[in-house]
Amino acid sequence: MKKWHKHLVLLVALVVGAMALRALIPSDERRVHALLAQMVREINEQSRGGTFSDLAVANRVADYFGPEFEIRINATGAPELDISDRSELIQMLLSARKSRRGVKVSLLDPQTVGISKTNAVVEATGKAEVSGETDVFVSELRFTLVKIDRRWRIRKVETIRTFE
Amino acid sequence: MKQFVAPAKIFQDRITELCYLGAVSVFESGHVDLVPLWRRVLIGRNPRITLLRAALIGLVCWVTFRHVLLPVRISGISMEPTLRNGSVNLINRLPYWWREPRRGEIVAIRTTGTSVMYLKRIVAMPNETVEIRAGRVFINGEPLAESYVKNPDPWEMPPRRLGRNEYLVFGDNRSMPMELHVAGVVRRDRIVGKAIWQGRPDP
Repeated sequence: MKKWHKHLVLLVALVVGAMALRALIPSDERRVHALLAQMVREINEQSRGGTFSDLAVANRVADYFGPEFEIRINATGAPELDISDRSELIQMLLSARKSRRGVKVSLLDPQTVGISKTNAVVEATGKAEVSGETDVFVSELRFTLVKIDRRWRIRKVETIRTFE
Repeated sequence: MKQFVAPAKIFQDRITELCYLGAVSVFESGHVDLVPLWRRVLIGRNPRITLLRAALIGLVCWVTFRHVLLPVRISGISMEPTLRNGSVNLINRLPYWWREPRRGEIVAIRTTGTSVMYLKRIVAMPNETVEIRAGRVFINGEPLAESYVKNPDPWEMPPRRLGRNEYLVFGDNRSMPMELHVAGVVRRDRIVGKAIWQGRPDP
């Protein structure tokens, strides 16, 4: 084997090893980003029409929040949201699932603003698209997360104003 | 009667035939390239150089369309009639690397990243005092000529002095109440670049 071939194989092995290590032992930052992405996937899960399945999804989404949490979303062109109770959150998710016509929610460009062993602050751009409508609702959101029993939970969701 | 052809003639005819088929190339120097045309088109004469060239083109495209010219699709009516809903534009990041944004330019304003950006027009510059009376913008007490604004709603805004790094941006469509218009003061670091297509010039 040529000398440069050996170096190339070694380099590839190093890169693959590093990627495997990152996948097997993710950092707290990756865990937090993955948690938010997973929550968005749950929110976007298609409603099967049954109340029990919707309730199960709403409960699963509510599980991403800690025992004490608050959601304060106040953005131009969207209804104001102020929730700090789990049952209130489940109720809101249930009514949203019943009334919505193919809403697709996405969290784009998540940026970790600060992270420690027990706390994390992530900012992301929330985007909601209603099928059949041209207008897209966009708002920058700040998620404050806390680690409870080795699991990250959302403590606070608030709006960041793009324009002052 | 059987016709005999000299071997050199056979070779010459074969080369001519292959030249017609594009399988070989004969250069003026007499050098014969035996790489078939299809292979030359698809892979090139030297696969390593072709690979390198493809990688280079890919890299140039990635740098250009990821970091210099950002393609965007406009969603919403806030910049109408200058920029239409659903139209496509490019955001050029280069101009603001060596100069500051100017009044009247349509700029892209980032959110937490560049996946979603707002396209707005710069109305007031840093350190200026801006006021809106009955839908008319006043900069340092002087009215601002805005031919791109059609049928403005009578917006009102008390005088406000912008900070050192602050710009006031609005959409061109000001026919809705001010509370429903997503715009306002932004910091310089949020301005990503200038829209390449700045709309049609005024009639």
